[in-house]
Amino acid sequence: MERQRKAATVRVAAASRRHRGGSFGSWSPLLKQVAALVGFVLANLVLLSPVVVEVVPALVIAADALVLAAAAFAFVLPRSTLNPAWELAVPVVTFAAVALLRVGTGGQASPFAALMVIPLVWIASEPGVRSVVIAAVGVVVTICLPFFVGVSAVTSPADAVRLVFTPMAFTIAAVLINQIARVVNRRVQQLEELNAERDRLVETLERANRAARKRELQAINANALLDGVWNDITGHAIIGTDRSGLVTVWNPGAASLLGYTAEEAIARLNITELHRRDELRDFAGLVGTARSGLRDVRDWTYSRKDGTVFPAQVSIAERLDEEGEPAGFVFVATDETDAKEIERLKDEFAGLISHELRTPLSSILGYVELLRSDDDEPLTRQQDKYLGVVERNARRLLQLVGDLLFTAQVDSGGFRVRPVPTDLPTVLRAALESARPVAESAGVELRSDVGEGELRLGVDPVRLGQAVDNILSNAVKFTPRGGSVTVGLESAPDEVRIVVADTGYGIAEHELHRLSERFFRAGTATKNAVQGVGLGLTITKAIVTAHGGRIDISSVLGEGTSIAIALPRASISGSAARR
Amino acid sequence: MRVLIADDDADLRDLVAIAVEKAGYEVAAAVGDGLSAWEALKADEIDLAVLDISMPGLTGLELVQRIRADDELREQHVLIITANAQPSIAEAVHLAGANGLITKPFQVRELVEFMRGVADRV
Repeated sequence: MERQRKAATVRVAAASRRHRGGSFGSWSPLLKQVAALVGFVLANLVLLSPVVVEVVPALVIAADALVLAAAAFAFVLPRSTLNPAWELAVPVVTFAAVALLRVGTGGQASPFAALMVIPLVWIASEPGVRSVVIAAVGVVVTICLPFFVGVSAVTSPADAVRLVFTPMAFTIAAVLINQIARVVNRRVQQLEELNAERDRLVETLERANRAARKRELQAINANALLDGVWNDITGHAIIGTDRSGLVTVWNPGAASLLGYTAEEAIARLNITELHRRDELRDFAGLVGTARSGLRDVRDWTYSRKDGTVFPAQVSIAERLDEEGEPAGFVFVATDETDAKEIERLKDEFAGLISHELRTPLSSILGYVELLRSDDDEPLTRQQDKYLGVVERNARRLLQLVGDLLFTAQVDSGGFRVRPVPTDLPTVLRAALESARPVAESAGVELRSDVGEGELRLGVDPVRLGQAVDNILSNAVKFTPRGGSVTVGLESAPDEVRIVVADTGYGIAEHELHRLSERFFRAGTATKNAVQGVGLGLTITKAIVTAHGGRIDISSVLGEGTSIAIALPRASISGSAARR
Repeated sequence: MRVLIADDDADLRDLVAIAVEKAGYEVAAAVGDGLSAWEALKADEIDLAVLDISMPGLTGLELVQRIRADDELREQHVLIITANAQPSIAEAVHLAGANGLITKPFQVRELVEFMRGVADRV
C-alpha cells in the first residue's frame, strides 16, 4: 500500500517535469532560429539549381550572412549578461535577411517571400500588441523593399493591391498568432500553477504518509508492549466476560492462577464457576456494583480447576463496546494468599511483642509495688523516691507498648469502636480529673468549660476517653508553668465539638498537617524537651475517625494550640478505622 | 483458702504467690504449664485457680473449657491473668467461662481484693 502510493507520486512528478519541457516559450533562441536556417539552406539549394531566377549573388550572400549572424547572436544571448528581451533582435534581423534575399532574387517576383512567415510567427507569438506592430512593420518592409530600391515597380493595379493586401493579410495573421499564443501561454501558465499546486499536494501527501507510517510504527510498538505486559502479568488473572459472565478473555496469569488453559476457559467457562457457591448467589449479584458504573473491589474465594481454593481480591469493571454500549465485564483477580499470611503474621507478631514486653513489665511493677507497700519493713524516703522513678518509667514503657499494639490493630483493620449512648460531659470531667495531678505538678491550670447539663451521643466511652486523655495530656505537656488548658464542649445542629485549648508553645504552621503522622514530633516538642514518641495523636485520630468524626487543629507559635474533636450527631455504628 | 497458680513466668508465679500469702491464703501448688495445672486440679482440693493464658501444654483458655466440661470441677473458681490486652481476649475469657480477668501488669492490691471476694463465696 505504502509502496504503491510512493510509486504514484514519482509518476506524477515525472509527468509534470515533461510538461514544463514542452512549453514553446522555453525553447532557446537558437532552437527557434533553426527554422530560419533550414529555410535559408533550402533557398540557397534552390538558387544553386538551374532555375529561372534573377540572382544578385552579393545580396544573397549578405542575406545568408545576416541569418547566420542572427543565429550566432541567438547562440550567445543566453550565455551573456544581456537582457533576454534582446532575443527579439533575432527574428527582426531574420526579417531583414528575408527582405535582402527577396531583393537579391527578383524582388516582387522572388519565390522566397514565404520565408518571412518564420520570423513573423516568432515575433507575433511574443506577448503584447508591440509584437504585432513589429511583425507588421517587418512584413511591410520585406514586401515593399524591392519597390523602394527600384528592383520592382508597380506596373498594374494588381501590383498596388498586392502591396497593400499582402502586408494586411500577414498582419491579420500576426494578430491571430499573437492571440493564439496569448491563450496558449495563459493555458501553459495555468497548467504550471496547477502543476505547482499538485507538487505541493504531493509533498503534503508524502508528509502525511510519513506521519501515518510513524503512527503505524508507534501502534505496532504499543501493541508489542501490550503483548509483553499481557504475557508477563502472571501474578494477576485478567478475565474478560460477555454480559452473561461467559469468559471471552483469559490471560496467562489467569491460566497459572486458576489452572484452566485459555482453550479450556474461553467460551466454555462462566466466571461464576470460579466462585465458591456459598459466597455468590448469581452473576447479577457479582456485577451489580460494576453495572452502576462504579469500580468494585472485593475479597472473594476462588476455586482452581483442581478444586483447591485461594483468597482473591477481585476488581470488577464494566467493559463498553465502540458505541459505548455495555459489552461485558473485566475481572482482575489477585492471589491474596501471601498478603493474608503476612497480615496474620503481623497480628501474631504484635500480639507476641505485646505479651513478651508486658510480662517482664508486670514483674517490675508488681515487685516495686510489694517493696513500696510493705508495712513491716518500710522504705527510707530516698529509697521510696528512687523506686518511684523505676515505677514511673516502667509505666511509660507499658504505655508505649499499648500504643504500639493499638496502632498495629488500626493498621490491620482490627480496631473497632463499640458505641453506646454516652454522656459526653461525664467523659470530659473524668479526663480532666485524671489529668489534674500531672497538671498541678507542672504548674498548669486546668479549666473546665464543659457545663452542667447532659449531652448524650452514641460513642465508645472508653476509646473516646482515651482520645481526650491524649489531647489533654499533650496540651499540659506543651504548656509552660503558669499557663492554662481549657476543655470545652460546643454543640451544633449536626455535630458536637470537644475543644482543648492551651496557652502553650504552639506548633509551627508547616508542621500542622504532619501531626497525626506516626512518630512525628513537632519542633516545639524537641525544643522544650517534651516527653513522648509521637503516637498520641495518631491514636486519637484513629479513634475519632472510627467514630466518623474529624480533628481540627489551629495553632499560633508562642500563643497556644486549640484542638477540636468534631463528632457527627448522626448515629455511629461501630465502624472500623483503617489508616 | 487453697490457691493454684499456673504461669510459665517464674517471677510472676512468685509475685502471685506473695499476693496469696499477703491475703492470708495458702498456695496449694505453683506450676509452669497447663497440663501440670490440670493434674493439680484433679488431684488436690483447690478453691481458686489463678491461670495465665499463654502456657505450654494447655493454654489457660483451654484449661477453663476443660474445667467447665468436667463433672467434678464444673464449679471451680477460676481467675485468668493475661498479658494480652486486646479487647477480643476479654470476650474469649468470658465465653470460656472464667470468673474473672486481670490484665498484666496488675496491682497486687487488685489481686488480693479479687481473692477476698472469692473467699467470701467459698
